[in-house]
Amino acid sequence: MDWLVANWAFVAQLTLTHLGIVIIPLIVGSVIAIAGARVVPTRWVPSTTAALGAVYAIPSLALFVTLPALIGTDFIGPTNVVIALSIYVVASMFFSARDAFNQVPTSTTTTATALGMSRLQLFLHVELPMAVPGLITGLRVVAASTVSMASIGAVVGVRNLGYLFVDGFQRRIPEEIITGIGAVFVIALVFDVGLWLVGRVLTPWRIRGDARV
Amino acid sequence: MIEFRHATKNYGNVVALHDFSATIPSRTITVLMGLSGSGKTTAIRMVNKMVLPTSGQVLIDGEDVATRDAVQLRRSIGYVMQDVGLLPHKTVLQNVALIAVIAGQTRDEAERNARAMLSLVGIDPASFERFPSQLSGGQQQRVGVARALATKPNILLMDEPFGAVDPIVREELQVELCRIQRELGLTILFVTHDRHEALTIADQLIVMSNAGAIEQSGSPQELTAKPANDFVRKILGL
Repeated sequence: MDWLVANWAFVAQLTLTHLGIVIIPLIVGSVIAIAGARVVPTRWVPSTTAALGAVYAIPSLALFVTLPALIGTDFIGPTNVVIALSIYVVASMFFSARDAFNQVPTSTTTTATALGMSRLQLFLHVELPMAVPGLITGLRVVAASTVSMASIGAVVGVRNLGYLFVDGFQRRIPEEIITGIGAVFVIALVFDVGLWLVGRVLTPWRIRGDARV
Repeated sequence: MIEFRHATKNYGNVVALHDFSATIPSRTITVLMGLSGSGKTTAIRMVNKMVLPTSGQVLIDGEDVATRDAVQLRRSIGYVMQDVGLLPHKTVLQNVALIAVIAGQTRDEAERNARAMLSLVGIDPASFERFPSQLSGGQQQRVGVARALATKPNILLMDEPFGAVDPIVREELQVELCRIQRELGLTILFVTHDRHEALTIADQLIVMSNAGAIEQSGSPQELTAKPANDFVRKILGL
Protein backbone atom coordinates (compact mmCIF):
# COMPACT_ATOMS: atom_id res chain seq x y z
CA MET A 1 0.00 0.00 0.00
CA ASP A 2 2.89 2.36 0.75
CA TRP A 3 3.98 2.12 -2.88
CA LEU A 4 0.48 2.95 -4.13
CA VAL A 5 0.15 5.88 -1.72
CA ALA A 6 3.49 7.27 -2.85
CA ASN A 7 2.69 6.84 -6.55
CA TRP A 8 -1.07 7.32 -6.72
CA ALA A 9 -0.95 10.25 -9.15
CA PHE A 10 1.17 8.20 -11.53
CA VAL A 11 -1.16 5.19 -11.21
CA ALA A 12 -4.19 7.42 -11.82
CA GLN A 13 -2.61 8.78 -14.99
CA LEU A 14 -1.81 5.26 -16.22
CA THR A 15 -5.39 4.23 -15.45
CA LEU A 16 -6.77 7.09 -17.56
CA THR A 17 -4.53 6.16 -20.49
CA HIS A 18 -5.57 2.54 -20.09
CA LEU A 19 -9.27 3.47 -20.15
CA GLY A 20 -8.83 5.48 -23.34
CA ILE A 21 -6.97 2.67 -25.05
CA VAL A 22 -9.75 0.27 -24.13
CA ILE A 23 -12.83 2.42 -24.76
CA ILE A 24 -11.97 3.52 -28.31
CA PRO A 25 -11.45 -0.03 -29.66
CA LEU A 26 -14.57 -1.24 -27.84
CA ILE A 27 -16.74 1.40 -29.50
CA VAL A 28 -15.13 1.33 -32.95
CA GLY A 29 -14.81 -2.46 -33.02
CA SER A 30 -18.38 -3.09 -31.83
CA VAL A 31 -19.91 -0.72 -34.34
CA ILE A 32 -17.98 -2.35 -37.19
CA ALA A 33 -18.82 -5.86 -35.93
CA ILE A 34 -22.54 -5.14 -35.44
CA ALA A 35 -22.84 -3.50 -38.85
CA GLY A 36 -20.83 -6.34 -40.38
CA ALA A 37 -23.01 -8.99 -38.78
CA ARG A 38 -26.02 -7.41 -40.48
CA VAL A 39 -24.40 -6.56 -43.82
CA VAL A 40 -22.21 -9.58 -44.63
CA PRO A 41 -24.31 -11.86 -46.89
CA THR A 42 -25.04 -15.31 -45.47
CA ARG A 43 -22.99 -17.09 -48.13
CA TRP A 44 -19.88 -15.15 -47.06
CA VAL A 45 -20.33 -15.86 -43.36
CA PRO A 46 -18.25 -19.09 -43.29
CA SER A 47 -15.25 -17.41 -44.95
CA THR A 48 -15.61 -14.27 -42.80
CA THR A 49 -15.83 -16.43 -39.70
CA ALA A 50 -12.69 -18.34 -40.70
CA ALA A 51 -10.77 -15.14 -41.44
CA LEU A 52 -11.75 -13.51 -38.15
CA GLY A 53 -10.94 -16.70 -36.25
CA ALA A 54 -7.47 -16.62 -37.79
CA VAL A 55 -7.03 -12.96 -36.81
CA TYR A 56 -8.03 -13.79 -33.25
CA ALA A 57 -5.33 -16.47 -33.16
CA ILE A 58 -2.53 -13.94 -33.84
CA PRO A 59 -0.75 -13.16 -30.56
CA SER A 60 -1.38 -9.55 -29.59
CA LEU A 61 2.30 -8.65 -29.27
CA ALA A 62 2.92 -9.98 -32.77
CA LEU A 63 0.07 -7.86 -34.12
CA PHE A 64 1.33 -4.75 -32.29
CA VAL A 65 4.75 -5.05 -33.91
CA THR A 66 3.62 -6.06 -37.42
CA LEU A 67 0.86 -3.46 -37.86
CA PRO A 68 3.31 -0.56 -38.42
CA ALA A 69 4.91 -2.53 -41.23
CA LEU A 70 1.51 -3.28 -42.78
CA ILE A 71 -0.29 0.05 -42.48
CA GLY A 72 2.51 2.50 -41.74
CA THR A 73 1.52 3.56 -38.22
CA ASP A 74 4.15 4.59 -35.66
CA PHE A 75 5.91 1.63 -34.17
CA ILE A 76 5.86 3.29 -30.76
CA GLY A 77 2.68 4.85 -29.47
CA PRO A 78 -1.01 4.26 -28.87
CA THR A 79 -2.45 4.46 -32.43
CA ASN A 80 -0.95 1.14 -33.31
CA VAL A 81 -2.30 -0.56 -30.17
CA VAL A 82 -5.74 1.01 -30.53
CA ILE A 83 -6.02 -0.29 -34.10
CA ALA A 84 -4.82 -3.76 -33.13
CA LEU A 85 -7.28 -3.96 -30.22
CA SER A 86 -10.11 -2.76 -32.49
CA ILE A 87 -9.33 -5.64 -34.83
CA TYR A 88 -9.61 -8.11 -31.94
CA VAL A 89 -12.91 -6.54 -30.84
CA VAL A 90 -14.29 -6.90 -34.38
CA ALA A 91 -13.11 -10.52 -34.55
CA SER A 92 -14.78 -11.43 -31.26
CA MET A 93 -17.91 -9.27 -31.50
CA PHE A 94 -18.76 -10.42 -35.01
CA PHE A 95 -19.61 -13.88 -33.66
CA SER A 96 -21.59 -12.55 -30.70
CA ALA A 97 -23.46 -10.10 -32.91
CA ARG A 98 -24.42 -12.79 -35.44
CA ASP A 99 -25.63 -14.98 -32.59
CA ALA A 100 -27.55 -12.11 -31.03
CA PHE A 101 -29.30 -11.30 -34.32
CA ASN A 102 -30.05 -14.97 -34.93
CA GLN A 103 -31.90 -15.02 -31.59
CA VAL A 104 -34.49 -12.56 -32.93
CA PRO A 105 -37.56 -14.70 -33.79
CA THR A 106 -38.38 -14.98 -37.49
CA SER A 107 -42.06 -14.38 -36.72
CA THR A 108 -41.23 -10.90 -35.39
CA THR A 109 -39.12 -9.88 -38.37
CA THR A 110 -41.62 -11.41 -40.82
CA THR A 111 -44.62 -9.53 -39.42
CA ALA A 112 -42.65 -6.29 -39.15
CA THR A 113 -41.65 -6.62 -42.82
CA ALA A 114 -45.16 -7.62 -43.85
CA LEU A 115 -46.54 -4.51 -42.11
CA GLY A 116 -44.32 -2.26 -44.20
CA MET A 117 -41.03 -1.70 -42.40
CA SER A 118 -38.12 -0.92 -44.69
CA ARG A 119 -34.82 -2.77 -44.19
CA LEU A 120 -33.39 0.09 -42.11
CA GLN A 121 -36.54 0.47 -40.00
CA LEU A 122 -36.49 -3.26 -39.34
CA PHE A 123 -32.90 -2.99 -38.11
CA LEU A 124 -33.50 0.05 -35.88
CA HIS A 125 -36.91 -0.84 -34.44
CA VAL A 126 -36.77 -4.62 -34.29
CA GLU A 127 -33.43 -6.34 -34.76
CA LEU A 128 -31.11 -4.04 -32.83
CA PRO A 129 -33.26 -3.59 -29.69
CA MET A 130 -34.13 -7.29 -29.59
CA ALA A 131 -30.47 -8.27 -29.94
CA VAL A 132 -29.43 -6.11 -26.96
CA PRO A 133 -29.22 -8.96 -24.42
CA GLY A 134 -26.93 -11.01 -26.69
CA LEU A 135 -24.87 -7.99 -27.69
CA ILE A 136 -24.33 -7.00 -24.05
CA THR A 137 -23.20 -10.52 -23.16
CA GLY A 138 -20.70 -10.44 -26.02
CA LEU A 139 -19.50 -6.97 -25.04
CA ARG A 140 -18.91 -8.02 -21.42
CA VAL A 141 -16.61 -10.82 -22.56
CA VAL A 142 -14.75 -8.70 -25.10
CA ALA A 143 -14.41 -5.77 -22.66
CA ALA A 144 -12.68 -7.95 -20.08
CA SER A 145 -10.28 -9.43 -22.63
CA THR A 146 -9.52 -6.00 -24.13
CA VAL A 147 -8.74 -4.52 -20.72
CA SER A 148 -6.18 -7.24 -20.08
CA MET A 149 -4.81 -7.31 -23.63
CA ALA A 150 -4.25 -3.54 -23.59
CA SER A 151 -1.64 -4.06 -20.86
CA ILE A 152 0.61 -5.74 -23.39
CA GLY A 153 0.76 -2.40 -25.19
CA ALA A 154 3.22 -1.33 -22.47
CA VAL A 155 5.83 -3.50 -24.16
CA VAL A 156 5.61 -1.37 -27.30
CA GLY A 157 5.84 1.87 -25.37
CA VAL A 158 2.28 2.73 -24.41
CA ARG A 159 2.29 3.95 -20.85
CA ASN A 160 -0.82 2.31 -19.47
CA LEU A 161 -1.31 0.00 -16.49
CA GLY A 162 0.78 -2.65 -18.24
CA TYR A 163 3.77 -0.40 -17.59
CA LEU A 164 3.46 -1.29 -13.90
CA PHE A 165 4.09 -4.96 -14.79
CA VAL A 166 7.04 -4.25 -17.05
CA ASP A 167 8.65 -1.72 -14.73
CA GLY A 168 7.84 -3.66 -11.56
CA PHE A 169 9.32 -6.79 -13.05
CA GLN A 170 12.51 -5.12 -14.29
CA ARG A 171 13.11 -3.22 -11.04
CA ARG A 172 11.86 -6.06 -8.84
CA ILE A 173 9.12 -4.09 -7.05
CA PRO A 174 6.37 -6.61 -6.16
CA GLU A 175 4.06 -3.84 -4.86
CA GLU A 176 4.11 -2.20 -8.27
CA ILE A 177 3.12 -5.43 -9.99
CA ILE A 178 0.35 -6.11 -7.48
CA THR A 179 -0.96 -2.56 -7.91
CA GLY A 180 -1.04 -3.14 -11.67
CA ILE A 181 -2.97 -6.37 -11.31
CA GLY A 182 -5.40 -4.74 -8.88
CA ALA A 183 -5.99 -1.73 -11.11
CA VAL A 184 -6.58 -3.86 -14.24
CA PHE A 185 -8.98 -6.00 -12.26
CA VAL A 186 -10.89 -2.96 -11.02
CA ILE A 187 -11.20 -1.53 -14.54
CA ALA A 188 -12.42 -4.84 -15.92
CA LEU A 189 -14.98 -5.01 -13.13
CA VAL A 190 -16.16 -1.45 -13.78
CA PHE A 191 -16.69 -2.26 -17.46
CA ASP A 192 -18.52 -5.46 -16.62
CA VAL A 193 -20.88 -3.90 -14.10
CA GLY A 194 -21.35 -0.85 -16.34
CA LEU A 195 -22.34 -2.98 -19.33
CA TRP A 196 -24.64 -5.08 -17.19
CA LEU A 197 -26.39 -1.88 -16.04
CA VAL A 198 -26.65 -0.61 -19.63
CA GLY A 199 -28.27 -3.93 -20.52
CA ARG A 200 -30.81 -3.55 -17.71
CA VAL A 201 -31.68 -0.01 -18.79
CA LEU A 202 -32.06 -0.98 -22.45
CA THR A 203 -34.25 -4.01 -21.74
CA PRO A 204 -36.90 -2.80 -19.27
CA TRP A 205 -39.42 -5.32 -20.64
CA ARG A 206 -37.34 -8.20 -19.33
CA ILE A 207 -37.64 -6.86 -15.79
CA ARG A 208 -41.34 -5.98 -15.95
CA GLY A 209 -42.09 -9.00 -18.10
CA ASP A 210 -41.10 -11.28 -15.24
CA ALA A 211 -43.83 -9.92 -13.03
CA ARG A 212 -46.78 -11.44 -14.85
CA VAL A 213 -50.17 -10.04 -14.01
CA MET B 1 -61.18 -6.99 -55.12
CA ILE B 2 -58.17 -9.27 -55.19
CA GLU B 3 -57.57 -11.47 -58.22
CA PHE B 4 -55.13 -14.32 -58.57
CA ARG B 5 -54.39 -15.05 -62.25
CA HIS B 6 -52.55 -18.29 -62.87
CA ALA B 7 -50.31 -17.53 -59.88
CA THR B 8 -47.47 -20.04 -59.62
CA LYS B 9 -44.57 -20.31 -57.21
CA ASN B 10 -41.69 -22.74 -57.54
CA TYR B 11 -38.80 -23.11 -55.11
CA GLY B 12 -36.27 -24.93 -57.27
CA ASN B 13 -38.03 -28.16 -58.18
CA VAL B 14 -40.62 -27.81 -55.47
CA VAL B 15 -43.96 -26.44 -56.61
CA ALA B 16 -45.55 -24.49 -53.76
CA LEU B 17 -48.44 -23.07 -55.77
CA HIS B 18 -49.46 -24.12 -59.26
CA ASP B 19 -51.65 -22.10 -61.63
CA PHE B 20 -53.85 -20.66 -58.89
CA SER B 21 -56.68 -18.46 -60.08
CA ALA B 22 -59.33 -17.02 -57.79
CA THR B 23 -61.26 -13.81 -57.19
CA ILE B 24 -61.69 -12.38 -53.71
CA PRO B 25 -64.67 -9.99 -53.61
CA SER B 26 -64.33 -6.72 -51.71
CA ARG B 27 -65.76 -6.27 -48.21
CA THR B 28 -66.14 -10.00 -47.57
CA ILE B 29 -64.30 -12.69 -45.69
CA THR B 30 -62.77 -15.27 -48.00
CA VAL B 31 -61.26 -18.31 -46.38
CA LEU B 32 -58.54 -20.37 -48.04
CA MET B 33 -58.83 -23.78 -46.51
CA GLY B 34 -56.45 -26.66 -47.01
CA LEU B 35 -53.95 -28.94 -45.37
CA SER B 36 -50.22 -28.22 -45.18
CA GLY B 37 -48.71 -28.22 -48.66
CA SER B 38 -51.89 -26.82 -50.18
CA GLY B 39 -50.14 -23.54 -50.97
CA LYS B 40 -52.55 -21.40 -48.95
CA THR B 41 -49.82 -19.46 -47.12
CA THR B 42 -47.90 -18.98 -50.37
CA ALA B 43 -51.03 -17.58 -52.01
CA ILE B 44 -51.83 -15.14 -49.19
CA ARG B 45 -48.23 -13.88 -49.08
CA MET B 46 -48.32 -13.06 -52.77
CA VAL B 47 -50.88 -10.35 -52.07
CA ASN B 48 -48.41 -8.20 -50.10
CA LYS B 49 -45.36 -9.28 -52.10
CA MET B 50 -43.83 -11.29 -49.27
CA VAL B 51 -43.70 -14.00 -51.94
CA LEU B 52 -43.16 -13.07 -55.59
CA PRO B 53 -44.88 -15.31 -58.14
CA THR B 54 -42.64 -17.31 -60.46
CA SER B 55 -45.32 -16.73 -63.07
CA GLY B 56 -48.83 -15.35 -63.11
CA GLN B 57 -50.20 -12.25 -61.44
CA VAL B 58 -51.98 -10.94 -58.37
CA LEU B 59 -54.14 -7.87 -58.89
CA ILE B 60 -55.71 -5.54 -56.35
CA ASP B 61 -58.60 -3.56 -57.83
CA GLY B 62 -57.25 -4.31 -61.28
CA GLU B 63 -53.69 -3.23 -60.57
CA ASP B 64 -50.88 -5.81 -60.70
CA VAL B 65 -49.06 -5.76 -57.34
CA ALA B 66 -45.82 -6.43 -59.24
CA THR B 67 -45.91 -2.77 -60.33
CA ARG B 68 -46.21 -1.49 -56.75
CA ASP B 69 -43.34 -0.69 -54.38
CA ALA B 70 -43.27 -3.56 -51.86
CA VAL B 71 -42.90 -1.39 -48.74
CA GLN B 72 -45.63 1.07 -49.77
CA LEU B 73 -47.93 -1.80 -50.77
CA ARG B 74 -47.48 -3.55 -47.41
CA ARG B 75 -48.33 -0.37 -45.53
CA SER B 76 -51.72 -0.42 -47.21
CA ILE B 77 -52.47 -4.05 -46.28
CA GLY B 78 -52.92 -5.50 -42.79
CA TYR B 79 -51.20 -8.76 -41.91
CA VAL B 80 -51.66 -11.11 -38.96
CA MET B 81 -50.15 -14.54 -38.45
CA GLN B 82 -50.19 -17.25 -35.80
CA ASP B 83 -46.98 -16.11 -34.08
CA VAL B 84 -48.17 -12.59 -33.42
CA GLY B 85 -44.61 -11.24 -33.47
CA LEU B 86 -45.23 -8.26 -31.19
CA LEU B 87 -42.12 -6.31 -30.24
CA PRO B 88 -41.25 -7.38 -26.67
CA HIS B 89 -39.43 -4.11 -25.96
CA LYS B 90 -42.39 -1.90 -26.76
CA THR B 91 -45.65 -1.46 -24.86
CA VAL B 92 -48.95 -2.58 -26.35
CA LEU B 93 -49.77 0.99 -27.40
CA GLN B 94 -46.29 1.58 -28.87
CA ASN B 95 -46.50 -1.68 -30.82
CA VAL B 96 -49.63 -0.51 -32.59
CA ALA B 97 -48.62 3.15 -32.96
CA LEU B 98 -45.16 2.34 -34.36
CA ILE B 99 -46.62 0.80 -37.51
CA ALA B 100 -48.74 3.89 -38.07
CA VAL B 101 -45.76 6.22 -37.51
CA ILE B 102 -43.68 4.23 -39.96
CA ALA B 103 -46.45 4.54 -42.53
CA GLY B 104 -46.23 8.32 -42.17
CA GLN B 105 -48.76 9.33 -39.53
CA THR B 106 -47.71 11.92 -36.95
CA ARG B 107 -47.04 10.63 -33.45
CA ASP B 108 -50.27 12.12 -32.05
CA GLU B 109 -52.37 10.84 -34.91
CA ALA B 110 -50.77 7.40 -34.64
CA GLU B 111 -51.42 7.19 -30.89
CA ARG B 112 -55.00 8.29 -31.32
CA ASN B 113 -55.55 5.64 -34.00
CA ALA B 114 -53.74 3.03 -31.93
CA ARG B 115 -56.03 3.68 -28.95
CA ALA B 116 -59.09 3.50 -31.19
CA MET B 117 -57.99 0.24 -32.82
CA LEU B 118 -57.04 -1.35 -29.49
CA SER B 119 -60.46 -0.46 -28.09
CA LEU B 120 -62.10 -1.80 -31.25
CA VAL B 121 -60.47 -5.21 -30.74
CA GLY B 122 -61.45 -5.22 -27.07
CA ILE B 123 -58.22 -4.39 -25.25
CA ASP B 124 -58.80 -2.71 -21.89
CA PRO B 125 -57.08 0.74 -21.76
CA ALA B 126 -55.45 -0.41 -18.50
CA SER B 127 -53.34 -2.78 -20.64
CA PHE B 128 -52.14 -0.14 -23.12
CA GLU B 129 -48.95 0.56 -21.18
CA ARG B 130 -48.15 -3.10 -20.51
CA PHE B 131 -45.55 -5.11 -22.36
CA PRO B 132 -46.77 -7.96 -24.63
CA SER B 133 -45.27 -10.60 -22.30
CA GLN B 134 -47.72 -9.45 -19.63
CA LEU B 135 -50.74 -10.35 -21.78
CA SER B 136 -52.43 -13.70 -22.42
CA GLY B 137 -52.12 -15.36 -25.84
CA GLY B 138 -55.63 -14.30 -26.83
CA GLN B 139 -54.98 -10.69 -25.84
CA GLN B 140 -51.69 -10.67 -27.75
CA GLN B 141 -53.56 -11.86 -30.82
CA ARG B 142 -56.07 -9.01 -30.40
CA VAL B 143 -53.17 -6.55 -30.24
CA GLY B 144 -51.83 -8.17 -33.41
CA VAL B 145 -55.12 -7.44 -35.16
CA ALA B 146 -55.16 -3.85 -33.86
CA ARG B 147 -51.61 -3.40 -35.13
CA ALA B 148 -52.56 -4.73 -38.56
CA LEU B 149 -55.38 -2.16 -38.67
CA ALA B 150 -53.19 0.75 -37.51
CA THR B 151 -52.64 2.08 -41.02
CA LYS B 152 -56.37 1.86 -41.81
CA PRO B 153 -55.98 -0.73 -44.58
CA ASN B 154 -58.89 -1.97 -46.70
CA ILE B 155 -57.39 -5.42 -46.93
CA LEU B 156 -56.48 -7.71 -44.05
CA LEU B 157 -54.45 -10.89 -44.61
CA MET B 158 -54.70 -13.45 -41.82
CA ASP B 159 -52.58 -16.60 -41.80
CA GLU B 160 -54.01 -19.04 -39.22
CA PRO B 161 -54.19 -16.13 -36.77
CA PHE B 162 -56.07 -17.98 -34.04
CA GLY B 163 -54.23 -21.29 -34.33
CA ALA B 164 -52.45 -20.98 -31.00
CA VAL B 165 -55.28 -19.77 -28.75
CA ASP B 166 -57.59 -22.04 -26.79
CA PRO B 167 -60.96 -23.03 -28.31
CA ILE B 168 -63.16 -20.78 -26.18
CA VAL B 169 -61.10 -17.65 -26.77
CA ARG B 170 -60.81 -18.69 -30.39
CA GLU B 171 -64.57 -18.62 -30.91
CA GLU B 172 -64.77 -15.23 -29.21
CA LEU B 173 -62.12 -13.90 -31.55
CA GLN B 174 -63.91 -15.31 -34.61
CA VAL B 175 -67.16 -13.58 -33.64
CA GLU B 176 -65.38 -10.30 -33.02
CA LEU B 177 -63.46 -10.53 -36.26
CA CYS B 178 -66.76 -10.76 -38.14
CA ARG B 179 -68.05 -7.71 -36.26
CA ILE B 180 -64.89 -5.71 -37.01
CA GLN B 181 -65.01 -6.76 -40.67
CA ARG B 182 -68.56 -5.42 -40.99
CA GLU B 183 -67.81 -2.26 -39.03
CA LEU B 184 -64.78 -1.33 -41.14
CA GLY B 185 -65.92 -2.90 -44.43
CA LEU B 186 -62.71 -4.89 -44.70
CA THR B 187 -61.74 -7.36 -47.39
CA ILE B 188 -60.30 -10.25 -45.41
CA LEU B 189 -58.33 -13.14 -46.86
CA PHE B 190 -58.11 -15.75 -44.12
CA VAL B 191 -56.08 -18.96 -44.13
CA THR B 192 -56.99 -21.89 -41.91
CA HIS B 193 -57.05 -25.67 -41.80
CA ASP B 194 -59.78 -25.67 -39.15
CA ARG B 195 -63.16 -26.61 -40.68
CA HIS B 196 -65.19 -25.19 -37.81
CA GLU B 197 -63.40 -21.85 -38.07
CA ALA B 198 -63.76 -21.80 -41.85
CA LEU B 199 -67.48 -22.49 -41.76
CA THR B 200 -68.05 -19.92 -38.98
CA ILE B 201 -66.45 -16.90 -40.54
CA ALA B 202 -66.41 -17.42 -44.31
CA ASP B 203 -68.55 -15.53 -46.80
CA GLN B 204 -66.67 -17.41 -49.48
CA LEU B 205 -64.76 -20.61 -48.92
CA ILE B 206 -62.04 -21.90 -51.23
CA VAL B 207 -61.00 -25.50 -50.54
CA MET B 208 -57.48 -26.22 -51.79
CA SER B 209 -55.70 -29.54 -52.10
CA ASN B 210 -52.15 -30.01 -53.37
CA ALA B 211 -50.17 -26.87 -54.42
CA GLY B 212 -53.16 -24.63 -54.91
CA ALA B 213 -55.50 -26.99 -56.79
CA ILE B 214 -58.99 -25.66 -56.07
CA GLU B 215 -61.34 -28.52 -55.21
CA GLN B 216 -64.37 -26.30 -54.75
CA SER B 217 -65.27 -22.72 -53.93
CA GLY B 218 -68.48 -21.04 -52.88
CA SER B 219 -70.42 -20.08 -49.78
CA PRO B 220 -70.20 -22.42 -46.76
CA GLN B 221 -73.86 -23.30 -47.35
CA GLU B 222 -73.18 -24.34 -50.94
CA LEU B 223 -70.18 -26.42 -50.00
CA THR B 224 -71.84 -28.21 -47.13
CA ALA B 225 -75.03 -28.82 -49.15
CA LYS B 226 -73.28 -29.94 -52.34
CA PRO B 227 -69.67 -30.96 -51.74
CA ALA B 228 -68.01 -31.44 -55.13
CA ASN B 229 -66.02 -34.53 -54.24
CA ASP B 230 -64.70 -36.78 -51.48
CA PHE B 231 -61.84 -34.42 -50.64
CA VAL B 232 -64.24 -31.58 -49.88
CA ARG B 233 -66.56 -33.93 -47.99
CA LYS B 234 -63.66 -35.17 -45.91
CA ILE B 235 -62.02 -31.83 -45.14
CA LEU B 236 -65.37 -30.34 -44.13
CA GLY B 237 -66.19 -33.40 -42.02
CA LEU B 238 -69.45 -34.16 -43.81
